[in-house]
Amino acid sequence: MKKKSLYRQVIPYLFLLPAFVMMAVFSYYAIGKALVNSFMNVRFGVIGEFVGLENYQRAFSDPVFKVSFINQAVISGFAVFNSIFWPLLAAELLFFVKKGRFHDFLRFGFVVPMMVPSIVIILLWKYLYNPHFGFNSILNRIGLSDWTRNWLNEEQTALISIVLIGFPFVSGMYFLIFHTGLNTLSADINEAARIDGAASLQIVTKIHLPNVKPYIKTVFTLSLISSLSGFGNVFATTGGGPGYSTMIPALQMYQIAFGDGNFGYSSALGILLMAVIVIVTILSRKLFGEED
Amino acid sequence: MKTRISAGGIVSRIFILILLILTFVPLFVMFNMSLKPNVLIKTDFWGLPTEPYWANFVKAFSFSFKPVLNSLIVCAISLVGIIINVSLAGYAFGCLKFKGKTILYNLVLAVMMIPYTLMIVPTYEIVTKMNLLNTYWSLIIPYISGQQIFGIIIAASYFQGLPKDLFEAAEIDGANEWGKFFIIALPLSKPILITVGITAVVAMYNDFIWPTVVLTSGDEIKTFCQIVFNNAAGKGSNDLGLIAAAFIIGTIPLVVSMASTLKYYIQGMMVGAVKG
Repeated sequence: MKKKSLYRQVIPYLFLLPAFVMMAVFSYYAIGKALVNSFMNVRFGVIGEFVGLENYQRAFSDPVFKVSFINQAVISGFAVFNSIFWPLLAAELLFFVKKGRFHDFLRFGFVVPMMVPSIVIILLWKYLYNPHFGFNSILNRIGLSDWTRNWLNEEQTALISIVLIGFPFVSGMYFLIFHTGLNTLSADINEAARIDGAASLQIVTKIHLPNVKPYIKTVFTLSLISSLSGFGNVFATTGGGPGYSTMIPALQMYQIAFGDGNFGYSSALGILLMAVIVIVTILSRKLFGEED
Repeated sequence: MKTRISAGGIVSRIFILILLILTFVPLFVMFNMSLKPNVLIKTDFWGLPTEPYWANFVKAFSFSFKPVLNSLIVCAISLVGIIINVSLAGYAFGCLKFKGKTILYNLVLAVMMIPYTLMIVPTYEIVTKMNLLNTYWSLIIPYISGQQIFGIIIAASYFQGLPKDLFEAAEIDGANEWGKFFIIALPLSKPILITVGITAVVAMYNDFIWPTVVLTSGDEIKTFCQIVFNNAAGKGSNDLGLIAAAFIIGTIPLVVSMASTLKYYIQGMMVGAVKG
């Protein structure tokens, strides 16, 4: 057999070159840089000296970081529950609506909000939480003026208000995942259950839930990771306040970097956050994986 | 056979309709606000306008035009880069044999694990060193690099599924690797490239955190979602009607691009979800 010419051997790497050149700089060098920064005293990109584990020690004794993690646990806990419960509920309800125009209308309806930029939706919620109008005007109208709050600016209500942004949490991708999941169950299974006289609720609990489990697992992992690494909604609504009542690690990391200019400490927080994300991802895979 | 709708069926229909209505509350608020003058929004937030106040749209158009254009320029240039990188690398991983393929592929997969947040600081340092701050390129280059990862992974598995005999036939006809790529693989990969493209465009158009980091000088270069975010932070107009009209104007490009490719977008997210 003829040996491939050198040029032909090199071709595959030429195909990969553009992608890998960019990854070399913006992925591998960047992550290395983050790691190095976390052991250095870096201010606004100017490298100071090697400080060992000082940045990490500081993180563990930082009271704000502790509060951030607790807030994050609350936000992520609710985010995961809401990302599974409500879209699954809607997908189940839709399942029992006979295929037809109404069915398609409902499905399309839940997809539409995906086409609006997320920051726009967040800001609209911010208006709903406004002390002078929004939800408060409803409360005033129905005579519950005592219940009105400055929702995002009071320590007691800020965190829960952020958690509730997006209620009823149905629109978009997670709904579609469950919808697809339920529709890939063979029609025979559902038909057989109906002929056996199983009521809708039994079909849901005995047949759907066990079969939809892989999709629940997917949504669990996806929503957990996205809530741990994202900080857009807190950033745009409360900025972590009032005080530190809604501060979360990702936002704290951002503020330490671009507010205080302390890139070193910020990178240490980032590495810790990444470690948490990796551990949580592995744990959640284990948690569900054992029964697969 | 006509199936009778049970009482339970009616309850579930009503319930899902309520969920749908609640989902649309923010969108209703947006349209309602956009058609009312600012004073009326503050005094009667939920009430419908007696007469649509179109002046909001006229005024909003003039100040949201440039940010939307900026977003579109950034998305368009990034998209070209992403499609080039993804089709080439996806083809190599999917169709070609070479040494170190598994290792290189795993290197791509590993990048998927890194949270976006951790990359902000080092990427900012790199972009600063490249003297790109406050240019479109400070968005475009990191976007290409970040968005190509997911694209390469799904494109590789798509290319792998293409029928092998097509390539063998082309080889007999004397086509070299580039010929096979341009004449056979590329035309066949249209659906997957649309999927990759729309997923990336949606993510880039929606992003406001990275623009906030690197575009800090003047408003004339800022993207639409960045301007919206700045407004949330208390900068810019206080006229809520105007803001809501600007929201709608800035949503149009996303609706247009997604409406024509929704099928591909959903497919992309599904594959991404399963892989993730």
